[in-house]
Amino acid sequence: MGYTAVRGGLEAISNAAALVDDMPVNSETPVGIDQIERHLQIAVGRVMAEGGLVDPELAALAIKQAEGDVIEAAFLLRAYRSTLPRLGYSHATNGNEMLVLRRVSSVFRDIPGGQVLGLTRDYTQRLLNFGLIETEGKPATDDCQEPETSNAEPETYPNIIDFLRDEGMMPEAPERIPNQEPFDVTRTPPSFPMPRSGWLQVLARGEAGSMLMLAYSSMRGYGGTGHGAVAELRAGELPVRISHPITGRPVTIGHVEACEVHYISGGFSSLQNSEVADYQLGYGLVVGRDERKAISMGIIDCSLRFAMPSDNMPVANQEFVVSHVDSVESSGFVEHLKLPHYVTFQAGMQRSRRLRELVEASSNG
Amino acid sequence: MASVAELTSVHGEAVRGYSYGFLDAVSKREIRRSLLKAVAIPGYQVPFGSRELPIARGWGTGGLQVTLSLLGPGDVIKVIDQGDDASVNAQNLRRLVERTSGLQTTIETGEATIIQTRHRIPEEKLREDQMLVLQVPIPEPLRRVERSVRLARQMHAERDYSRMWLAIYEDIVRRGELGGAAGYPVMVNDRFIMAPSPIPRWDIPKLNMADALFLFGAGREKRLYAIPPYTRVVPLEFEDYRFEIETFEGKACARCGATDTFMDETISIDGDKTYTCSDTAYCETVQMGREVTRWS
Amino acid sequence: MVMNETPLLSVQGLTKIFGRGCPQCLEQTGPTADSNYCSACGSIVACGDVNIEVYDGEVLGLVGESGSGKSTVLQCLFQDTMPSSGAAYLTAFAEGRKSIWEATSGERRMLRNKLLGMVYQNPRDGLDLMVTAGGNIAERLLAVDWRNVAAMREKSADYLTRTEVPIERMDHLPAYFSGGMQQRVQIAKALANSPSLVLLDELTTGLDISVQAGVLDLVRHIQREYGLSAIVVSHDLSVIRLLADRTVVMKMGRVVEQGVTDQVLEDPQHPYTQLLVSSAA
Repeated sequence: MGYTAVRGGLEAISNAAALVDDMPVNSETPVGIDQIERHLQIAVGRVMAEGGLVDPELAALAIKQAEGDVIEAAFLLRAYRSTLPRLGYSHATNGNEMLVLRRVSSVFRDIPGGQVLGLTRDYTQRLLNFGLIETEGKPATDDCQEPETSNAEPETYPNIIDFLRDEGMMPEAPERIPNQEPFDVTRTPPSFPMPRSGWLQVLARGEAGSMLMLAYSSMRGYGGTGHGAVAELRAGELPVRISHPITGRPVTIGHVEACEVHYISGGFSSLQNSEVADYQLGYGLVVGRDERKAISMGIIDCSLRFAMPSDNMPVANQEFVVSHVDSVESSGFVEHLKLPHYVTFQAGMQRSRRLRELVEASSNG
Repeated sequence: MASVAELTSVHGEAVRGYSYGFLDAVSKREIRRSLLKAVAIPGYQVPFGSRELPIARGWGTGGLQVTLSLLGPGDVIKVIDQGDDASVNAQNLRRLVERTSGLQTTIETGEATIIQTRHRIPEEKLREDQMLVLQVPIPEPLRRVERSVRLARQMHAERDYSRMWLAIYEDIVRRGELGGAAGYPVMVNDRFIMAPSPIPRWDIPKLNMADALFLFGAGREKRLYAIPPYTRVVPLEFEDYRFEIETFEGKACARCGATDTFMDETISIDGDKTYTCSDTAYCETVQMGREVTRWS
Repeated sequence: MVMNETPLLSVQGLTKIFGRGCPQCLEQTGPTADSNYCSACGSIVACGDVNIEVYDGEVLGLVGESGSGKSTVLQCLFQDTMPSSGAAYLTAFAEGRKSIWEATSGERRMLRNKLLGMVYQNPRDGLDLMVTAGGNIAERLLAVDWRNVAAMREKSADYLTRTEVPIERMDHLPAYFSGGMQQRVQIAKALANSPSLVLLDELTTGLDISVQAGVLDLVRHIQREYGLSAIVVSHDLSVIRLLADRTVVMKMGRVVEQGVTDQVLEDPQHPYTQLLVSSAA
């Protein structure tokens, strides 16, 4: 069907919608939203993180509606946010309050509380299981370690960076200012330099692939803080606390699945022009279980904080990072090229033709 | 050589659809040819068509491609990570090798014919009949001074290393001593500067004039390189600022009591530190009272 | 200095064309055409068929306005860019039997690190501003295989002293130096390894007037004391008058006049030189 911009725009749109409705898949048994919520948890987590809205059912609905396009699904949630009233802010939580399901450190072999591998695909072998095509059964999980449930006392998991701080290898944690209102990127447009809470929010909602590329470039020498290490990664559930509307006391209203990363720069071997042999911290926190993005976030945060300021190295440039990691903004603008631009194009062609005339005239004259 | 059908009947569905040693025969041949070139030009990074593997990039695909291309019936494989056979990553790699080859694996350094390692060289001296395959994250030693792969290659080709030496000089100006921790750059065969993978300085002297063959695989960056036996390998140093290994003065392994191995530091909840041998297999031999040959 | 001795440097037929070039380029351009631009093919002839000599122990001045091609000559000699045609023979290189532009890449590095030294108008082009002052000098020493830190530091300190840079600044980054001091570090670096020939491109342009005099005096002093051979490029006649023994005047990529500096400046023959001298007066 031709797309003509001349007339019948509305008709074209409704015809396109009809095509979507008529797709052969729509006549089969539709995949259930609850199935998506349970079987595609990583995608659901990613949509909630980039959408900036924690509601697994809605995220699953968005994924279904968007035919699996995660960026499109995040866009649906973001749009939905705009119709919801803002009730307030939750209290700041500490990563230490997490109900830990998984917790590892790469900088020491054994750590207080132990290395808890938990549920991860890291050590699965990416072998396509051809048997599945025939049996259509459940994907094999024999390669993943199932988390062991036990009724024992919950372990305490002290932060690894606190040990490094005690030894003077890292600067002390900054003073915590109680009840400080965070910079809210959903209400305030960015201006540079931006406070750290601002870029952390942007990164928390940032597009996972864009952040991955920035983090990878930093590790390969394109600005940033180089290789570094993950002092600690923990995944589990964080409590959400608000002030009770009447009593004013803190009340826990629920838990959010999250993954937190403490990334540390490489000590004296990076940050080559610094005088001090300190490790510096980059913080990553994402809703859901996207460890790849949480690590990327830690790398980017560390680079923005401590890398040699450099305008032409993306990951060390605050303005570059903050402006280009948001999926709704970037996908919208890139895809807007599909919109009609023929007025501007005509104007450009006119100029080009005129210039060619002039050049030909002068070479003949 | 066991056929796929035989292996499948032994190991079941898991290997159905895959070649012996996972990689197809043509891939293995290409990798072996690249390795031969690497051995012929010590310390030179040979670009190769790195294949994707069931293990993620950055987790040992380079080392694994080398091991899988070289192994065959009769080989005995040892896999360690940070010196530890029991680490999750080492276990995972060992399992893949076992599943796709049916070969015997071992923890004993002396029994292995091929040892795949991440970031350590075993404390027990390796023999002429053994190969050490090292997993490499960043094969380019000049990355620190030249980010562009193309320009770094040119520097190697022209033996134009003054910027690298300058970086080391600047380290001394800034710190009063040589910088660098793990993965200290070395000069191989008086020709190429090479990245030895992030092994501690402790392990660097083992590379020089060794009996065994060292092979280096960088899967993500797609480079292979080698140090053949009896090759001169010297860390970059100045006449008046010499390379030094780490010391563990006053420390002993909490398990075996050794004072002459590279050790891991462990912290307890009170902030106390204990030390244990990083090379767990070597630690076992000491605990059992067994003598093994050390590197001189 | 005797004129019939072999020159230290002999440049023959140096031509540099930007663009695709054509057989008419040389005749379409130059001082008589009053243009660098070849209307036949649209190329720019930055310099055309330039012949110059430098003798041992002398300073040769290259003077002209912008577009004269004088900086292009230096860039070609230092091999920042390659000429389109021509040859240049340096007695210290292959006994003057091989053009420097035929050098292998290893030989080119030796030319740039040892046999020649270059000082750029902008210190950014000749120094790594984020490497210490001493480190910048050490880079040339390291390129010719010095491997003793104490010896390199002693040598660097020596060069910095000669260029009147305080020794305490040896381990500081030139990024934080004044323009004048950055130039002194550049000169110190260019002197490292005692090159046969030092190239100075608009050495003081861009510096404050008060600072220029100091740098010029320094260069003159070093040249006299160590018998340096040098080519000084400048559009400023007073710099040429101060430093150069002989002078070459360039216009639109060609040499229009050359001779002993005093003669060229007191009694110019070519109309362009006359114009230059009278406007400077």
